[in-house]
Amino acid sequence: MTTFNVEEYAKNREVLVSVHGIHRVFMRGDEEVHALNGISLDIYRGEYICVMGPSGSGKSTFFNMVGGLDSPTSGRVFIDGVDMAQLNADELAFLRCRKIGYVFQTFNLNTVMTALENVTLPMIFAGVHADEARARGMALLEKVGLGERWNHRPKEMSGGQMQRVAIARSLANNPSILLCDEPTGNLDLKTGVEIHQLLCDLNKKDGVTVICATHDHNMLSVCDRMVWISDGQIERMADRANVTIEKASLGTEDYE
Amino acid sequence: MSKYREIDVKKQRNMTWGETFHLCIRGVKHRLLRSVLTLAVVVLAVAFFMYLLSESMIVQTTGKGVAGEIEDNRVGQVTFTRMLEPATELVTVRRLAHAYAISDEAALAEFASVTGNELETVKALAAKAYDERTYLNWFDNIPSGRRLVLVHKNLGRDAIEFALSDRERFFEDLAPMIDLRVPGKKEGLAVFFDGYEEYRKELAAFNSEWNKKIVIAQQKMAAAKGDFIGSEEQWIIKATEEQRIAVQKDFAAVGFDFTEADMQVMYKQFAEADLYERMFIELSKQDLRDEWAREFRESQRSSAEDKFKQFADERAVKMMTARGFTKEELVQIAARTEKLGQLTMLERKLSSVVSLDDAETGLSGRQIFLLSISFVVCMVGITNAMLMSITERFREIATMKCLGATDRYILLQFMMEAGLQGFFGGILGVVIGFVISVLRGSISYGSYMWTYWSTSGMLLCALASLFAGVALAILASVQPSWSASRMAPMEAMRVE
Repeated sequence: MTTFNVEEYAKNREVLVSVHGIHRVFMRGDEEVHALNGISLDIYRGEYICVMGPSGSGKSTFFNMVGGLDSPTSGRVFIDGVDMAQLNADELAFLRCRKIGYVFQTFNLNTVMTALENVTLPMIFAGVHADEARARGMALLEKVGLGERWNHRPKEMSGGQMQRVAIARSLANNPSILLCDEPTGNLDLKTGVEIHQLLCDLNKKDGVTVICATHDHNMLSVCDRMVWISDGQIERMADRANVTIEKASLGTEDYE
Repeated sequence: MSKYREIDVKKQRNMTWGETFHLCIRGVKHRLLRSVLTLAVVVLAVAFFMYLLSESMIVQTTGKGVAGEIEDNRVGQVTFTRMLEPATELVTVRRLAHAYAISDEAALAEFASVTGNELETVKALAAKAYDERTYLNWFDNIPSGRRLVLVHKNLGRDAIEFALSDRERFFEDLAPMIDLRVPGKKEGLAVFFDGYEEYRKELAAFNSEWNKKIVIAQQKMAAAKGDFIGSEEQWIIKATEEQRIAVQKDFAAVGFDFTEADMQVMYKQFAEADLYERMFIELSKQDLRDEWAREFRESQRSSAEDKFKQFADERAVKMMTARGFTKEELVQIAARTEKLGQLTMLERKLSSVVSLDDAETGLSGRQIFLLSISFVVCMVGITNAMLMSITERFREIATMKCLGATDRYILLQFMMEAGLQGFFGGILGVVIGFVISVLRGSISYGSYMWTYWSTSGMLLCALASLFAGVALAILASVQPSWSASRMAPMEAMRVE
């Protein structure tokens, strides 16, 4: 196994998200739970990064920090050069609306809205004119291959289609970061591969930075870099070159 | 670190009301069942509110109308008594208090002109008389155990005088009875006590002034009557038009508010009453009762009152015309009897729910109690429904926050939703409450309800109920909406 060389990897790359020694302590009753124990990580523009780790490893907490959904007990998080700790609620809403796109494991589509309405919702929040929002929404739905189904409601769609709508929605305001929390967790293998392919295309063609939490090994073949988290710390990192080699051993390790 | 690119982070824009409303409507439309359930709670509360308000208004207006009609039917007799019978002090107190309570300017002006006082003086006295009447009623309505402590066995003015005889003891006894409501509080009672002696002197002077004029009126009446044998009422019926006008002028000269038209009304009412009396006597006679029973084949002889109802029958007309009454007179008296019967029945019915004496408005204590209970129940119901609706949409709210919704928008959206439900539920509730109260009113009061119908009053009730509904819904949703708006966006990540 080759060690991951950060300096080598960082060459000619621009830092998009920077995490400096973050700790996060929850109170569970009287007991302190240290979900994160000093994680530092730079994520670069245009990168496709996978965050892996068993449940309880602090992976979700780390994810929330990077997505601006939670603030660390200590340490700092910068997104696109902005210190998250400096922002108030409305500025955070602005950031979430325009800078970050979220893709959830459970899709989280608004069930009473059509696909197009779901996609245009973040644009309404951002104040995009209705006509323009409609046009952009249609374009996004076509990009994810659902141009024909714009008028369908989530319950008339399959899981894969719903996740496509969710991806289109996350791209509504041209975010720099796409934050995917187990995007294939609720999908079967075949659809999962399709979603990976879609995310990969977006990453490669449109240069969207994708941060992805996953258990899914298929995901590993498309990502640039992997980060393993365990006990609230980064256990190790690897770039794609190493991933393919380690794929077999990874499976056993992950489910030990 | 050097590679950071500065970007500009602004505050997230606020959604316009129109956008919020649009999104809110869409939510309500698609969650119709939940909305309808919340709506139902509002509907019930508002319907109940509207029902209480509008029924109380129907009772008030109909009651006032009926009381007015009854008054009109008695106006001849009442005026007659007022002008020709000396008044006791308590009668004067009652008259003054009533005139004051309904601000009867004409009556107050009459008092002034008869007693030769300024109108302002009379008004001031009337206000004091109103206070006295209030406290007289209050003293007599204190639960007997406490009344025994406060004023021993005294009633009416004796009670006031007894309390005044030892004020300190009285107030000491009153102090621990904190749940006993005193009109105008204890301070008001103290002020009343302070001025009582002076007021009684004024009143006595006023009353004797009044009664002096009554004696003059009596003398005029006696002079007009001359050696006519019979009562004054009978003289008025028998007198010629000129004689009546002359007497009316005499009374007006004394200062009474008594016009020619009033005299005409008095004459008509007396004549009608006299006719009724004569028919009644005739109907009570043995030979007519026997004949009546034969003609109508009645096993039991009906009372005189019941016979008036049969006046439309041919056989009754024949029998009565044979005894010197015309057909027109029969029709007139039958109609009068029926109307008076109705009015008396209505008066009895209405006086059990509302005081017909004065223009007292508003809801009774019991109704207010019921209303508050229904409001609390409704409040709990809506809050619960809203909380449910928010718990149900936990993930949706969190997701919207991830997509860039501000706290303010979430708060506004939920409040608006509640407001809409309050509005539409309110409209439905107003209609239901209105229909129920009108149905009940028309069963109880029949056509009298429509005669004294007040559209503007009803509209006011409807608006008040609607407003209450909307306010209730919004108020009940404040807490749930607030907690929804404060929800952390990372809840959206949670997987159940």
